[in-house]
Amino acid sequence: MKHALSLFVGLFVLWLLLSGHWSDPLLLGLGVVSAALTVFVAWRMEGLDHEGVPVAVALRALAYWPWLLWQIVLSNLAVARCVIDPDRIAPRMAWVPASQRTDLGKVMFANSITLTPGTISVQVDGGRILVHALEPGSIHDLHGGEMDRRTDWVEGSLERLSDAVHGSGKA
Amino acid sequence: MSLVLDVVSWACIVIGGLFCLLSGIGLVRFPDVFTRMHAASLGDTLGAGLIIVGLLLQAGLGADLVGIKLVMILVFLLFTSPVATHALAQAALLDGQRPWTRDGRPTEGKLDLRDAADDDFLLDDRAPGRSAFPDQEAER
Repeated sequence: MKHALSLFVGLFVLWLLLSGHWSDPLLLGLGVVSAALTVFVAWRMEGLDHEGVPVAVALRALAYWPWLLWQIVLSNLAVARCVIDPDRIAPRMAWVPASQRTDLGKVMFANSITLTPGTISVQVDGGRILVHALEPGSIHDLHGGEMDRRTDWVEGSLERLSDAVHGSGKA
Repeated sequence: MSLVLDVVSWACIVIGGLFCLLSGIGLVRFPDVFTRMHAASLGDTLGAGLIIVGLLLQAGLGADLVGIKLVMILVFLLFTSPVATHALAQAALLDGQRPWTRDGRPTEGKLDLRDAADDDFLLDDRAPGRSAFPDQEAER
């Protein structure tokens, strides 16, 4: 129910921002209907869970983005240097440990890896991710685990929530 | 004030364009499909990002919410492009592409085929008798 409601609110706000109609009741009503219809289809497809509508991690994800954007800028400069001087590149492909426990956390970590230029996540297998890197240093940085820890922290809000749900179920 | 805004926004757009250009040059200069994908992601992230930030400074919020639409373009781009890149890289590996390395030796990490074997639809598309990892086949 929480997911359905947050999906509905999110969709309707998106509709408002995209259309820019604030006053006409007919158009607003049609917007409400279309948002509700989308929520219904998502419910029929059983997409209304913590993966389809990840509201629990939204706040921490927003706090994580500025750091990720800064990493993207840094690695963009590194790859740009490689383009200017192709002799610098020494591609590697290696498995990197991923300590996230949920699928959503692994997706966030793998997407962060791919989003930063110079590293591409190729395959996720249990607790590790196959990464292709343009420079050997990037694999080394990933082994250092800074990004891994930060994604863990974002994922943490999800686990705290599921702990609370299980706790109340027992009580 | 508007002059400062103009200068900053044009600086963003020009530098973003520069990154897109570098991305194109990298596509030509790099040796194989994987390294070329790294070059392509240059234009996807900082190239597109800086151009959109520059346009955002020009448009402001705008009468018809242009600014919000620009931000949405950036957000959707940042969410979808890694998925496409990942799918492309894995498809290239499954199709038997070997990553180029400087010393010509195979990479230390390899695709785990046990996992791929679960995805029958991926294996069906491969030509018969052709394996991405003949050395693994030989071991069996």
